[in-house]
Amino acid sequence: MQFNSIPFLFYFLPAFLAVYYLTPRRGRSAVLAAASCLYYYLACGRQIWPVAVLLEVTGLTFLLGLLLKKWRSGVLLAVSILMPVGLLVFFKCHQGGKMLPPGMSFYCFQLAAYLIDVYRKKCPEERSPFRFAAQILQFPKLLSGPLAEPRKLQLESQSPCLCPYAIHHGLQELILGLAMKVLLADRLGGLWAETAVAGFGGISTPLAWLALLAYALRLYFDFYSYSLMAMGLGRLVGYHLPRNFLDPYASVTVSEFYRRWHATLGRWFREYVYIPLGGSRKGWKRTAVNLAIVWALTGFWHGNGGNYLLWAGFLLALILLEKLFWGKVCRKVPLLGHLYTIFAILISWVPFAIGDRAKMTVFLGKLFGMGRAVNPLDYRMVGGAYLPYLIIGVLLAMPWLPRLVRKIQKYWIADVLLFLLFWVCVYVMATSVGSPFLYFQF
Amino acid sequence: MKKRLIIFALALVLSGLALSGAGCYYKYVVLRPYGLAQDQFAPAIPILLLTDKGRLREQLRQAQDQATAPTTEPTTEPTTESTTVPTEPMTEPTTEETTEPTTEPPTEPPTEPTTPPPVTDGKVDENWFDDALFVGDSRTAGMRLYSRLGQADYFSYTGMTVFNWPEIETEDLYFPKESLETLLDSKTYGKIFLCLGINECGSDHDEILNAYGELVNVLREKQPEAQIFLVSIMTVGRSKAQDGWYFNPENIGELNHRIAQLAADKNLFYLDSNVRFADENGYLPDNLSADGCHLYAEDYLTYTDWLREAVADLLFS
Repeated sequence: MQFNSIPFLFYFLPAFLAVYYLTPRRGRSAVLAAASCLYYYLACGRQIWPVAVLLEVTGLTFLLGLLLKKWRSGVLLAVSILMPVGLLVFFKCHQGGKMLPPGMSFYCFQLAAYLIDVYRKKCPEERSPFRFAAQILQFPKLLSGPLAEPRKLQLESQSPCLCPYAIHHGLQELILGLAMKVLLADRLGGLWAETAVAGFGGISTPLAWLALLAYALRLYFDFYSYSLMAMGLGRLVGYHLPRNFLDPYASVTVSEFYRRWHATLGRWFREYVYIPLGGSRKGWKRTAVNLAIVWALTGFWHGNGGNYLLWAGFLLALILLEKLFWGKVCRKVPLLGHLYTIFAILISWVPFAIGDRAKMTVFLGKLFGMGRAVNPLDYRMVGGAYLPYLIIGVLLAMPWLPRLVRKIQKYWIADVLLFLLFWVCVYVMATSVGSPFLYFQF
Repeated sequence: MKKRLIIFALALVLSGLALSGAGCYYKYVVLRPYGLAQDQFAPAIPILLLTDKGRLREQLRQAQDQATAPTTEPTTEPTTESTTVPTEPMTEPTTEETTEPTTEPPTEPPTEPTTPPPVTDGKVDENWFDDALFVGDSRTAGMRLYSRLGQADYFSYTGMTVFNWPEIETEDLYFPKESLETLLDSKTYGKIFLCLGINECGSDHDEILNAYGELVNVLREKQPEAQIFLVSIMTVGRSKAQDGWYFNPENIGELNHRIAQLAADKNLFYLDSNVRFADENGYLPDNLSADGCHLYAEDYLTYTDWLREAVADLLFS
């Protein structure tokens, strides 16, 4: 059951909110935790074992947090972290990752962050099992993040902010995210799918670039829309979840791009891997090694296929180059930086999108004019149908959109537009088959 | 801000309740007696009825007509209930059906009997297809893109079925965006190729064949001079077949047999692509398709080569 589905919007969410708002404040954490378990059960195709795994690992982490407070020991910390992280590694590797429960990559990282912060005394241990469950299990962020700071989650769980402003804002974000997913991301996905089905060897070079652009935009809006909806739903239950996307395509370097793209995951790796390893404080060589470790783990986090390591390796090479001298050039000449970043990111999506090495090679060759096209004008016929969505996607990927949205949010006209947008989305959902969020596979 | 929130939230809640209420009424009171739309979510039903997506309104009307009509045997029975050939492995070439059933349709032999057949090296010339129309789903869309024949028209749409074709509008090089019926009213075709079936192969075979027959009737009515070819449902790859029971070669084979029978009954031509594309187990070979369902771009050229050969065998041998 996804956020962009009729059962969620018309059955689950209204029923949950009614119960949640009517419940006295003290009981709301329990209601949120219980509803999140139900949501997870439905989202996992009505299978009970992923829910059992989730509850077990959450319960154990809760207990370990209490123990860490009592016996603050590095060994205990290492053993504690091994539990969620080890479980994640096991499921990632077992049967090629096919058995990986939805959202495990996210909630294991959230649990590991909590344990480390308790050890570091950045976050007191949580003594209420219900509040802890509400922090970890809350369905707005359970399946695809964002990864929140444990201390902030804790403070918000103690007194969720259910003020009119937050709820209003939450509804607006929810509808905006829904529109972005249903009206844009899902439409863009078709171009890449059609191209992949036709086989990369037979398409023309312009179509290859259009398809790659469609994939990049689809991935962005798919994930961005999910994050927006998660933030909106979070506000509806009184939690202020962090923004995961900070206009990444406005970046002038790849390093900057990945500070703005999936920002909470980047923050997690920086906080819990890169800085403890020494960050950039121990000389150039050590910095390079630390970055290599972080990016290897990032690649593995996305998948255990060689293509993800290739993706991570490519980005690592660029980041190291930027650290040497190229970054300074890009920051000095922003236009050059923008063009370089967009080009580099587009190319980096090729191994991310195509798992098969032979097909990847063919597609890369096709991007640069190699090979024959069965129909050299295919881009006109196929691309033409998607051109409006590509144009809208490029425009919306620019940083002016969030600024504009924040400006008009203050006025009642925004509510009217969002109300209409909501019903347009419902119409589209009712009359077509839904498509899942891409990041649900991680 | 509080007032705005209350109005906004109330508007959403009340409109949502209204849609859900209407949906529940239609689902459980109006449609349930006819067994319609029971797998649809209630809030979606008013929208489907208003827009007639999925032909729900049409299905309701037909069900209501049948309920009020005097009891007669359903006109349908496509005869010979498929009991004749329950499961034919795809490998069995149905060519015998293809080559002989239809001893040239009663509509006439090709126009100019005295001119040499438009065949070269065993294949019909590409310009023979200049007055052809291909009607089909995403597989036909692939042909449209990568292996066009002559100046043929391609009315293709991803997801098209024998059920939803009336509501589809699409465009091609030589006609603007319009429905199939509008296209058939505006142009004259010498031959029409129907390439449907893969998207609906999980539906009831009787219902499929009824709808197929109705489509053929429309084509006959609007294009009385056209030669009509029913093209078999091309099989799928082994991995694709695991996506659903309906993709297995036996089911597709049975459906194809019914389509061939329809062609025989209505004096149409039948072309069986699986004679060329199915392997010994009845599956589409992996090297021909990325997803087990659609051919690679370059393999559409092979497909149209087969089509040209099959037509040449059928009409000019």
